[in-house]
Amino acid sequence: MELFAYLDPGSASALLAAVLAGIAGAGAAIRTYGAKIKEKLFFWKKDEPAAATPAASAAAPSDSSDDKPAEK
Amino acid sequence: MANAEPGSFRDRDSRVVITDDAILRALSPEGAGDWDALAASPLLEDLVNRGDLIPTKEVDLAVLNGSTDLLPSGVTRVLEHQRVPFISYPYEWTFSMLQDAALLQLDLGIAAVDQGLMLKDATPYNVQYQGANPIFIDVGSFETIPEGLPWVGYRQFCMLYLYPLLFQAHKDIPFHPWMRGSIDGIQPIDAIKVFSLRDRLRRGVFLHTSLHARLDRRANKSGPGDADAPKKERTVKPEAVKAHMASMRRLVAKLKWKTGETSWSGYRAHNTYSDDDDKAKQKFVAEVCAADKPALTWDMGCNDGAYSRLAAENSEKVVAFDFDHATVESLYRSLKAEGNTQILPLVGNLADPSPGLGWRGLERRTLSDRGTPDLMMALALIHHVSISANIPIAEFLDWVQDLGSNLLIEFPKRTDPMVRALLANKQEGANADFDLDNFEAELKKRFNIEKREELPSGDRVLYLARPLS
Repeated sequence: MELFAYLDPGSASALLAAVLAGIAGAGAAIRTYGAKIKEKLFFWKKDEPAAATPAASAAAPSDSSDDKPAEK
Repeated sequence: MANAEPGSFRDRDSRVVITDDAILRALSPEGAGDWDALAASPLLEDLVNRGDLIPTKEVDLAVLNGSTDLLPSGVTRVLEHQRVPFISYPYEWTFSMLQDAALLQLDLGIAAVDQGLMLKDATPYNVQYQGANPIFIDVGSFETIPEGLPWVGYRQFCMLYLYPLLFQAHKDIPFHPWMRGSIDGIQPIDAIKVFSLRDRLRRGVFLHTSLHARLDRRANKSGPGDADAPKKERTVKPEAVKAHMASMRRLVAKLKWKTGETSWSGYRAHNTYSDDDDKAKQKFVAEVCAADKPALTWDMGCNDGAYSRLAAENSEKVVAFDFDHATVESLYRSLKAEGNTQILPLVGNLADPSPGLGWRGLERRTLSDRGTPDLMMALALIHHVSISANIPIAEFLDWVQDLGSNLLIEFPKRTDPMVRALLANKQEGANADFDLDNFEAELKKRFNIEKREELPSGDRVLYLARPLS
């Protein structure tokens, strides 16, 4: 039987939360800056309509569209 | 008279206080600092205007009548909250209600980070429902962002929101008994035992359940550690905390519960009523509500909520209870689509109503402690209470009498097809107290029968009864 009585029950969770924040933060950064890098790598496609996407994501740094609060 | 709310002792910087006419929140100097930060940001007004946060204003410290020792570091500020018409708990909500509360919790958490704030916890007990609209009630949860810390409410969010939702979505296991069984929710090490290997491959299950449980076990094995050892400095940036909550939001928003068809969810389409009975019943209910205009009506055994809606035309608020989760889920979804803030749908079993929970049994209140109705509707219900749950007719009426509520009740005779079906598996002469004459005699001992109407089929009788004063 596992006993948690002596432990701060949040210690493992806090570690996991820190790791997950790191992963999610990196993911968000990749989504934001990845778009910018892609824009630079494929600079010749700049004038095509697809190039509108990076501009939109740059306007909302580190946040993708489905991160936004749901409209009520 | 100012009384500290027994369920709000956990946060030492903020305590709810109930007076005769107001819901107050007493704040410590630190709590007042956090409130100032929230009030100075555009977030407070924005959330209140959107109906996401309970309307709150500062009031004079004098309203506490000198009770400034409610918090260990003293009370320096008092807030007044708008009253929620009827308090409900997550073990009375449907899947979508818990999911919408979780999304509100995360939306507020994400919005707070943008203003240099964070929510210090993540519990569905900080969310209440006004009809089908979830509203966050714990203004004291907002604090100035603690430097370098990860999402502090993460564990609590998993135990009280995520695991119950995953149970229902992936395993079709009702979360209500788990939530009612433990005020702190489901431990990661218990949650993981429910999931199969295949489930662990589903989105979020491995990270938030398997890994979480594994780390818990490892922490448990390594013991409490050295209290004097230097603490490891973690520096998690607020943007990363926000990204963590945003990724949890994506996970929660995608969860779906396939309710399926239960014996009750198609009840309206294939019940034993004639159209004439139905019309007469609607007329009776509409007339009673139009005359009484009750502030609070309880519709016990509401099924698809047709009579709750009828009652709502002339009641200020209606609480619609049914013990069938799928039926209430479908009612919630339709009320939500309409933006209904008047009818609160809840999962509840009259034969086993919500008890008092937590410290001293007072942290979460019993059903009747949370406010009694002006009118109780018990339509097509008493035969289930009496015959299926074996609750004596006299005791059921005692219960309603104790609530002091007017009673609109439908009594099906022993000749009614549904009653005969329920009695079919019982011994000859079982539930002898389930009899029209006996019911009326017991009713008259406690109530004054103001209206009595036999439905056209001749199998059922409707009553409006008021407690004898």
